[in-house]
Amino acid sequence: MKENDARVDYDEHQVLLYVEKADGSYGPLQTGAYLTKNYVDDFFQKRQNIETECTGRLRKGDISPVVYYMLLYNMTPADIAMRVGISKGKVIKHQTPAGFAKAPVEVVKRYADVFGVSVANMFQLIVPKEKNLTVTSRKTANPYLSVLEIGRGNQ
Amino acid sequence: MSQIPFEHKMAAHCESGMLSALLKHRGLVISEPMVLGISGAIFFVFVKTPYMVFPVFDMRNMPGQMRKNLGKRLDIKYAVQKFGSAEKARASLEALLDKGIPTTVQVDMFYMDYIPSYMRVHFNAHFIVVVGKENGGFLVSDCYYPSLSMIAQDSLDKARFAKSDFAPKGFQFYIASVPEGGLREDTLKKAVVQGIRQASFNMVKLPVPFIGVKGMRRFADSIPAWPKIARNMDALSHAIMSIHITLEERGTGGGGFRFMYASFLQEAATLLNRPELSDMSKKIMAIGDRWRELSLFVARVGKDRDLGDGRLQEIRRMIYARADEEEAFFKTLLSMVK
Repeated sequence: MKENDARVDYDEHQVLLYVEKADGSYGPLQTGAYLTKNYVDDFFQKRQNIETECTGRLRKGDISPVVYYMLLYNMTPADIAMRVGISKGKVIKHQTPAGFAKAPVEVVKRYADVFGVSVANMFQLIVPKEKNLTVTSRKTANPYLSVLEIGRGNQ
Repeated sequence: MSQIPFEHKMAAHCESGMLSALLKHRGLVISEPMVLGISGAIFFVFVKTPYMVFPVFDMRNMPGQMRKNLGKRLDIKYAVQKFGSAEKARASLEALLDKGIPTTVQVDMFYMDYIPSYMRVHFNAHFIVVVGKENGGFLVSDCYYPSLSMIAQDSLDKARFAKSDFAPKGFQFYIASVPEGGLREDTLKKAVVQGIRQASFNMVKLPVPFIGVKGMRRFADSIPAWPKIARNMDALSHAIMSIHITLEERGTGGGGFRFMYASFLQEAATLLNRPELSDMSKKIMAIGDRWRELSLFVARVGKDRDLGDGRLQEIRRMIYARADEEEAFFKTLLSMVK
């Protein structure tokens, strides 16, 4: 690939590509990521679609948060089971609210770690009513307690 | 604890880039393409396990293999450790940092605090170099980022003890010794030839149906059946667009490592004084261009949700064409180093 064909103007996500320089030699070029620059909006739209679909089902009681995060992060029950340290059968049982109710808090904590959220977020949806609110979940030394900070504008 | 003076540099791939940086820290200058080439890392593997929603592929050898092959061929010794608990792993890492030793750890990329949300995926075989500890967090050199980054202690603990495929189990290593007086030219020449021979053999001779050019064709054949796996059109689109990520943006240097391999062959041609390797480097660069054409194509049809059977068959045919080209290329390359 010629150096000029590889250049993408996008500071937010940089990658290193190997390219053909003007003198015919091959070497590294730090440049913007093509896919991120041109298609990241599509990625976020897909996420939004999953959120819209799943939050409706969550509110109705059709699914547990395990399904919501599994779809959001494009994971399988087998992978989640390995990461949480339980059987795949248990993950499948935990996909309904009734099955999830039987999961010990310690297991819910491990789910939260795998999904990168606080334990509290395995039991709640956070829906800001105003557009300019900033919501930040902060960890504490207590693994079962997080602090939800809500403020106006950039905090 | 202060920061170890360590030259952080972006690289195309985490393992080859990290090895090149660690060796430079020890006074051995070996470019990233040379690490890739000497370790025989250029590859193709088709993978389908219950741990993934869709079949995937990779275009380099097993994580950790670059380090092992490079060490074996250049007489570089590593001090390697695994741990049973996060506390023991952390204590050992801190002790090494106290001694001023930059230490590589294997992590699940999901827990890297500094990456943007769209890159947060569970992948257990990412390598970063820890170079300091400040304010309860660790300072790390991650080749995928332009500058040094901070990661919280809790996040690093989780990342080092994630489970599932390629579970790190606290894996860490540092370079224990390099050849005294630097690398001898004959050692380097021999290593380059061994690397080329291994990579070419793996691509065209290894009798395993999901590896090398056979793996490419198997992966291509799987694609027309993806609509049956996908829960909806968005999921299918995401899977198809992920082909672009694997080829271009998941640390390959572009064209699925083929551009970086071209750079290696160009260096090898000079080192070995064999102009025919320079011709081969031009050929693999051109093959890389055609992998890039494929990756741009899948990004476009994925975004447009233009994913009917005709399009999927087109993608299948494009991968078959790449497999045919690479079969001819690696057979020729293998014949040059027999």
